[in-house]
Amino acid sequence: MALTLTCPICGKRNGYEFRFGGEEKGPRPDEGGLTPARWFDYVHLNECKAGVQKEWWFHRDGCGAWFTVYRDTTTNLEVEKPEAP
Amino acid sequence: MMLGIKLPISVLTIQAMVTQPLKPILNHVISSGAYHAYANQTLKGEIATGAHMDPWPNYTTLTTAYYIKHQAEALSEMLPCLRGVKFMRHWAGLADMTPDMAPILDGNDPIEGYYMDCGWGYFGFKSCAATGKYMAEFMATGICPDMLKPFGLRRYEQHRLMGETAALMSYSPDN
Repeated sequence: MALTLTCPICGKRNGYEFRFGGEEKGPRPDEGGLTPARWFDYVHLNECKAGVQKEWWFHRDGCGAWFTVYRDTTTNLEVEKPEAP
Repeated sequence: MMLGIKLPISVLTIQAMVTQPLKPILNHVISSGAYHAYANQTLKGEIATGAHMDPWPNYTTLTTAYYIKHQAEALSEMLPCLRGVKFMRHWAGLADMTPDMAPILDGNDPIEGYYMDCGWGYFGFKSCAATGKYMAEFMATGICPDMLKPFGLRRYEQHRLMGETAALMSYSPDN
């Protein structure tokens, strides 16, 4: 079963309507005192988690909303927000 | 994760498929940028094709019906003689993609004695012999061979991304 995602505006849709927007890495770092190492860390470095991760998606073939979901990368299914440990 | 090292890698599933065996019709690999497809006939007679990557990282190695349809369309446009031929087998593997489509070959940085050879994406098989030889030299001497210097992990931080002109740039989530 291919990926389905729940857009906050359009509801549950086929995953191919969306563009993956990267892992959730927090807000963009402040430009004051920003080093190349910190920028590289923010832009490119990924946790590559085998499990539930929070990530961004863009509804490219739909409403154009940017939103976050929790998805389990070992099953490729969207999940509910996990209980905080 | 165990060493606390993060990598600029996204693990995407890459799908491939073969058709039922056919009498010999292709004696080359043919590929087309316009149709976004390649095909090769194996010794058993199957036409092997594929190379689609879903752009979301996952570790499932699952295949999708979306791609069977897409590849059937692409292949029948590129090779009309294959219209009506059935796909026999369809599988997927994991491709670790880097932002510049080039592997990461590094060692002793940040941890002394820890070497990494990763980020090959979908094209590591062809280079494994040469890479093995140079990485062995690196490990034995402790000095990075000139051949491996452009592939260090620090190249991204220093904005020295490799220009892999032969690689398609539309697959990684970064693109």
